[in-house]
Order: sequence, then structure tokens, then C-alpha cells
Amino acid sequence: MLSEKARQEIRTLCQQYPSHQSGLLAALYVAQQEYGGWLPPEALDEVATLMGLPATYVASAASFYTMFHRKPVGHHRIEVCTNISCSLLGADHLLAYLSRKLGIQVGETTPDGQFTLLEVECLGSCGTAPVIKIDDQYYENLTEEKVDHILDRITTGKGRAS
Amino acid sequence: MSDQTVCVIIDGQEVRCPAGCTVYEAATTAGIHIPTFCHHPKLVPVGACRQCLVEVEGMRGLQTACTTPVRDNMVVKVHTSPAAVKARKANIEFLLTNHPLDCPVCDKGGECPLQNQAMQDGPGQSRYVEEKRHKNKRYPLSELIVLDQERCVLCWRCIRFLDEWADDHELDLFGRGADTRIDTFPGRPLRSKWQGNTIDICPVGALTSRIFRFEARVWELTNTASVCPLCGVGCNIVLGVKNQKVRRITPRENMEVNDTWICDKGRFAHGFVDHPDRLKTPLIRRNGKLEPATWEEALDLIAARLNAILQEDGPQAMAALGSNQVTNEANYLLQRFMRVVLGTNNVDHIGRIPTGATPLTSLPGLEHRDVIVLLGCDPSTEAPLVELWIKKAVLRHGARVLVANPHQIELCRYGGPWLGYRPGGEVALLNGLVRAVLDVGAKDQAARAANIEESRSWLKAYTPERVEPLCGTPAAALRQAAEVLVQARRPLFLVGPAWTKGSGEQRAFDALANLTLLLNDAETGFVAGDANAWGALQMGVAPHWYPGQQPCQDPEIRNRLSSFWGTKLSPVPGLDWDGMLPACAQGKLKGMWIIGSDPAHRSQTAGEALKRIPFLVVQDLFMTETATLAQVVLPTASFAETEGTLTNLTGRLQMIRPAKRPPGQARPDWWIITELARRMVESKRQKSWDFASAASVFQEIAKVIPGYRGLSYTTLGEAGWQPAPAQVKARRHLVRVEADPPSADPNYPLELVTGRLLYDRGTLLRRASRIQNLVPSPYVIIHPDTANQFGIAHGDPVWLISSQGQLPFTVLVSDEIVAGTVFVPWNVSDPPVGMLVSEPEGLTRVRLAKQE
Ligand code: SF4
Ligand code: SF4
Ligand code: FES
Ligand code: FES
Repeated sequence: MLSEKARQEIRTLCQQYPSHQSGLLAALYVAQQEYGGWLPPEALDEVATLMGLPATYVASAASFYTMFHRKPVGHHRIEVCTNISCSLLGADHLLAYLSRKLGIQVGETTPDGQFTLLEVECLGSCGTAPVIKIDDQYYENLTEEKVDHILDRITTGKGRAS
Repeated sequence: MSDQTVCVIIDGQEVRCPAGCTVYEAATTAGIHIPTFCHHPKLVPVGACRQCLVEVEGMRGLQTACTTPVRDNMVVKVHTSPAAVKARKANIEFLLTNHPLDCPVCDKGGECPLQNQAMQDGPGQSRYVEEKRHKNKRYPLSELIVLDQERCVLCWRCIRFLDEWADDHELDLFGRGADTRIDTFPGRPLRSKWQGNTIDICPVGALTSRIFRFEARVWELTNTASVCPLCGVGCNIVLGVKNQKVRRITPRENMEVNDTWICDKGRFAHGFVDHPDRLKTPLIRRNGKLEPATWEEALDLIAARLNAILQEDGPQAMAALGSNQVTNEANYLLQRFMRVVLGTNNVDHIGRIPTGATPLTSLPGLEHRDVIVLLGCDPSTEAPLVELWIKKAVLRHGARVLVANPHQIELCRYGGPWLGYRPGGEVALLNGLVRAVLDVGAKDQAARAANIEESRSWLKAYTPERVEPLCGTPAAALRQAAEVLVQARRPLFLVGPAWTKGSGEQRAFDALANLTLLLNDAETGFVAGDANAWGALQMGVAPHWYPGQQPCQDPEIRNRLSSFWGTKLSPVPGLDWDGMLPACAQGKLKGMWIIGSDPAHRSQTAGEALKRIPFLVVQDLFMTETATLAQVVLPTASFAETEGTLTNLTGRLQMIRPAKRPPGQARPDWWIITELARRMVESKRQKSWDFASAASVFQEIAKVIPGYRGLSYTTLGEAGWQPAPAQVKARRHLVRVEADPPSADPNYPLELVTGRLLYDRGTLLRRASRIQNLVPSPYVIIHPDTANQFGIAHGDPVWLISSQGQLPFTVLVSDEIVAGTVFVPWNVSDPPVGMLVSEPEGLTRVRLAKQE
């Protein structure tokens, strides 16, 4: 169940647009945060009811964006861009490397619940390809060594590495 | 679209078309083929598939014909533009790169636009050798439909149909890019009662029927144009038969009835036709047991027994029930038999349309009503296509839907207001509305009634506040409804069978006429739930009416028909169904013939009464409860096996046609009645019973019913025949109708409301596989106040107790029902809820007890 605070936030969002539909992405974002980083069907239903939109429409919108997760995700989400520029500069290798390193396939979460590996579209940072995004942080001009270093810092709790 | 026309040149051909139409439409009127996938004539264009690309002089690049509006003197090249031809060819090739090409096992094969257009407009060969994309293949969307996501070309037709017509947004696109799929909300099956239509409009084999799945290749089907017999709408359908079995039902366009749509019940519930339970031979009771017999034996026995009763007890000792589910021809012959051969007017049918009701004048006309008022009528379950037309009025023109019903029905979703009432409170509710309309609308409304001044005094008692305790309708809702009614330009009142039960026909209609008198251009139409309710009435299967609703008490008419039928018709008034019951119980009825109805299932009183009849003949498709009481059971042909006409809820005559042979020895009703009559009349009068076909029966009907003169099966044709709307005399005076005080009975404090569900366990649907999985288990809906009063909670098992008996149900507590009433759906529980009802059926009071 969404907290009253989240519900209120979504109601306010509805008021900010001429049609409720326009506030949907922001509302889904609120819900996702409340539900621990993903959107279970109940969350979609709740948002739909709050906003007076068909539940199927809400689910469909959520499924379009890689930023919305329809399965539980790990503590950290590693989003690997595999769009053109990144691909040309080896994103596929990077993705395969991460998959081997973490021992999971794309879309899966490590058994300890730490990492979810995801493949996403252009992150808008083509100039510094290949790029991955971990949680809210961009990591650019990546190589396998850099990836090792970044993951080390995260797992050892040293936080972000630039 | 305006009235102006413009001229466009398409492939060198001059085409005149209305300004504002699309290039695609212009080309189609000129017979120029443009391939399409996403475009559908009944849906708003979206331009999603790029299949219809054409070249338009002066416009850069190729244009989608389905979304480009024409301009005067526009020059369009469809087949004369090499670029456009090439682009369309490429588009098909692209669509096919990932298409599984499983045509040999695809139910759409043979009538598939992708197949056809790939042949006609495609390259004929694919250059794609890589692995195709994989998605879900046998993916059930519901009990009725299965989706193959690999075959889908993402045209959105299915989504748009459910949005634009059904207003059920249950399908959408999920995912993105190459991974886009059609799907439902996670884990939630399609629920729309219109979902079957998406199968028809899907341009590929992505959406297919689970009932028709692998039953036949479409070219093996023999198709017969017919009419759906499952509700009063009478949707036009096509029966697809292979090897003497109905494999599928699809809609047939009729803009006066069903457009191009049908509901899922009509489409998927045909399993009863070929069900092994069908009666296949006549049965005669021997030593207490019903045993197979030949037609000769059965008919000879009936003739002998009826003759004996005629000798000993006279014609008034016999009675018959026709049916609002069997053809006009059967009903007509039954009353002719009773009146002419036996000499009695004891003929009626159950569920007779109330006196004073008028048919709805037009189904498509519903679209242009700005306010639709549903009085004890739930189109969504009783006559689904009516719901679709109402939705059209709401979605396209913003119509309001007011709902007077003891519980909330699906159409309450458009904001109502919902006028919940307790059965028996109909008159109070209407008087309350009359009073509120006068209060809100002031002069304009009052001026319409000639006797407004005298009327004000008796209407004093019906302020919304005083009405509320009488019928349970909140005063605020009444006022809100009155506001809407006063503003209405063309309100339409749809009356259902439930409306007249509580207050009586005359009073319910008088009170309604008071209201409509005050409003602009108001019309009232009765929504008959059964396929031939008007027909049964019209054919004279009523004790007081000859065919054509000509009164039996009129000596002139009696004489005319006497000479037409070559007999002296009896002036003795006949018994109606309510009168037959006590007559049975008192042993006055010695013989009875029941065709196509199952009274014993409807009420316990009826079952008990029928047991007292020494000689009961039942003619039906299945061994119904009533049939188990009979001395002779006659197997009859179903709608798919006989010719005849049905009269729909607008009075439209439409033909059903035989698509297959009846099972075993089953015979059409008209044949059975004719054969029996020929055994009973002396030889010199045999000629008056020489009907050789249903058509010849209809010929006589057309002579007997004044309005039907000149009609024949040929004139009815495929589309049917619509009578001119009945002239309703406009009233100028308010009639004083006083409301009943609310009934009270401390032993049975609650009012039982029953209603239809779309899918139930009735005689026919019980034999439709898959549909049965959609029927809920028996439940009773009660109001939270009632729950408190009886100390009962949501989900509790309870006994529902009336003076007739008790039945177990599961409780649903909901404020979507008026306090003091409980709702139970018909034909869901076994034994049926009819067990609690006493006949003649008025209101039934009940109480609840928790099951221990
Ligand atoms: S399922 Fe059929 S109708 Fe629906 S989008 Fe796919 S191809 Fe079009
Ligand atoms: S709306 Fe009525 S007539 Fe039409 S298909 Fe459904 S049940 Fe049959
Ligand atoms: S392609 Fe990877 S950031 Fe744009
Ligand atoms: S038919 Fe025109 S774009 Fe699909």
C-alpha cells in the first residue's frame, strides 16, 4: 500500500496537468520509490485508481521505460547502455563481462540481492561511450578494469568512484 | 465530414468524394485497392503500420492513405507510383521477416489479410535468413481467446476496438521497440464481454478463438446467415458448420441491429446445439419411466389422449404454453392448434411483455439520445448489444445514463446518478422524479401538462425527502436526476421486465407516462431480454389476444378469424399462466402442452402445480426439469436446424435458417404441431393443416396479422424487416398514481431482487463449455446495514430463506445495493433461486441466517 504521503504527492501531480495522464510517469516514480525500487501489479493498480486511469494503460506505460522495474531489483541497479555509440565502443563486451563477473544474466539479480544487471537504451552520454549508470550515477569511458574498480568500491562500501 | 464534395485524381481516375474523407476512403469508393493493416473502417485511423503508403503530388515523401485527408484536385498515385509500390512491397517484407509463417496451423489461414496482401502486394519471397524474433506463442488472454504474440503485427486494432466501442481498456502495448507485445494487465485475463470481436478484426492470426481452435479450416465451413437466439437484440450472425456441427459463430453486418459486432455469449455459447444431452427421440412414459418411442407412437398417443380429454372434460381442460424463445411459426401454430383444433383460448407464455409496453423504435437511434434512463433494466446482461449502442452515445456524444435499479449495474460507471430503489417502490420513485422535475424545471415543464394545477395537490406528498423512505432512493440522487432530465433534449427511457413486477403494469407505465409528458421529446422503449418476446405476443400466444394483438373479445375479429380458419372460435376467455397454475392445482386442467419453456425450474409453485396434470407434453431441446414431469417428451430442432422468424426488441422480423440437420429424430416445432393437428382433425379439414414448410406457415401469418400483409421470406431477405414505429398517443394529462406504502414482514424483512448474469447455468449455457468457467459460484449481495443487522460478514456462508424454502449462498457485502434488498443472480445456483419464489411472481421476501 502506498503511504498517505505518496498518495498525496500523486494527487498533487494530477492537479499540475490539464489531463491526469500527463502526470503518470512522475506518479509511477513516486510509487516505485515506495515499493522498494520496483512496481508490483498492486502498485500499478493503486496508481491507476488514484489517477482515474485504466490499470492496463498504467501497466503499459510502465513497461515502456527502462527506468521502471516490473520485477524486484537489487540494492544497486547497473544499467548498461547498448545503443549505437556504446555498442561501437564495446558495450556488448562490457555487458558480457559484467554478466560473467556477477554470475547473472541481463535482467537478473545477484543472489545476495546486491546487483541487478540491466540493458538500457542511449543514456545521452554518447561522447563518453561506453557508459553505464549505477543507481543515479554515470560512469563513463569504461574499460573492464574501470568496471572492476567501480564495483569494488561499491561492494566495499567506499561508495561512489569517479 | 461536411456535405461538400471534392474531386481527386487517383491513378488517373477522377473520384468524387466528400470533403474531409481520407485518401484511403476515396480510393475505396472508386474500387482502387490499397493494402492496410491498422486501418479499419469502424475505428479511428492511427497510421501505425505504414502499409497504405501512396504518393501525393506536391507532398514530400510517401503518405499514409488511411490518415491523409483529401483536398480538392489532389493527385494521388497508388499503383502508378513505382516508389509507393516498392515501399508497400518492402513493408510487407519487413512484416514477414519476423512473422512465424505458421499458416498451415493458423486458424486465420484462408481469411487472413496478411496472407492475402502478402500474395497481392508483397515481394513473394523473403531475403531474411537470420533467426526470427521469439515471443509468447500460445498465450491465453482469457477463457475465450488465445494470443500468438509472434504473429501480431502491432496494428492496435484490438486495443482500439476495446477502447472506442467497448470502453474496456484491457489490452495495450507492452515493452518497446522490437520487443513490443500486446498484453493485458499482469496476471489479469480479458474480461470484456466484447472481446470476441477482436478476433474478427485482427488482420493476422494473432488473436484466435479458443472454442474454434483447430476445429476446421475456414474454407471447409458451410456458412449460413442467421440470427442469434440468445437475447432480444437478434444480432445478425453467420453459422459456420463442418460435418453437421456448428464450429463457430461470427457477426454479419446489419446497421439497424448490431453494426458488425456481437457479444461473446452469442459468439461462443453455441456448444449446446451439438451437445450429447440433446433429446434425440420422442419419449413416452411407460410404467413410470420415460422411454424412447417413434414419432408415430408419440403423436398417436397424444392425439388419442387429447381427444379423450376433449370428450370427457371439454376444451377448457387443456392449456398450452408457447415461448418467447421459439420461432414465430411455432408460436403461431401452437395458438392456432389450441384455438382451432381444441377450441380453447388457454394459451400463454411465461415472461410475457407487460401490457402497455412499446418496443424500442431503433437500435442505432440510441446513439443520438442525450439522456438514457434505465428503469429496472440492465442491458449489459439482458441485451448486450443495447449496451454497445449506449456506450456509443456516451463515448461519442457525451450522453448521460441514469440508472434506476435496486443494485448498481455496469452502466453505472458513467456517473449515473444511480437511483437505487426497493422493488415495489417504482411508483414512488417516478412520482418523486415528476415532483423534482416540476420543482427544478419550473414553468417549461409544468406547461406541458394540461391539468398541472389539480395535479400539484396529490404530488405534494412526493417531495424527494418524502419519497426516500417509500422507495429507498436518496433525495439528493432524485434531485440530481431531475436536473439532468430537465436539460435533456431527447431522453429515452428503457424499461426492463423487472420494472413492472413490483407495482403492476398499469401503474408503472402510468407513472412513467407522467414523467415523460413533462420532458422534451421523450421516448419509452421496452428492452425484451428474450429472442422472441415480441414475436410470442404478436403471434397470439396469449389468452386474450389473437395474432397481431387483436382482442379475442371483439366479436367482429372473432368472426373474421373463425371464417379464415374454418372453425367456430370459442368466446370463452382463456386462462393466462397465472390462472393456469391454480387450475392445475385444483385438478381442472387435464392436459397441457409446453413448448420451449421450463416453468418447473423457475418456481417451486409451478413445479408442484404441473405435477398435478394428468397428461403433460413437453417439447424442448433438453431433458428440462419440466420435461421430467411429462408423459410425453418431444425432441425439437434448435435455432441452427430450423427455418423461421424471430421478432427482436425493435419489432424487427428476422430469419433464422437451417445450417445443419437436427440430431437423431428431433424435428422442427412447426412440423410437430402440424403432424399432431392432422391426426386430430377430420379428414375433410386436413387441407387447413397442409403446411409443408416454415415458409408456408409464415405465408399464413402474413395474411392474418394486418401489419404483415405482403411479407414473405423473400421480402425479409438477409437483413430482415422493420415495422413502422407504433404510434403512441401523446398524453396531455397527468394521471394520479399513488405509491404503495413499503411492504413489511417481520419474519422476512428483506426484498429479494433477482437478475440475469451474462453467463449463467441455464439450460443452454450450462452446455457451453468454457463459458461455464466464467460463471461465478452462487452468491447473494447484501448491504452493509443488512450485514450488521444479521451479524453476517463478507464471505460468510448463509441460508437465504423465503416462505417457500431455503438455499445456501456466499455473502458479498457491498454498498452497491439498496438497503433492505438482497440480490441473487438467476440460473447460477443449483437448485435454482426460483425455489424461493412463489408464483404468480410478484415480490419475494426473504431473511438470512448464518450457516452453522
Ligand atoms: S493482436 Fe492482432 S489486432 Fe491486436 S495489434 Fe496484434 S495484429 Fe493487431
Ligand atoms: S447481444 Fe444478444 S443477440 Fe447479440 S450476440 Fe449477444 S446474445 Fe446474441
Ligand atoms: S549510445 Fe550509449 S549513451 Fe548514447
Ligand atoms: S493502414 Fe495506413 S498506416 Fe496502417
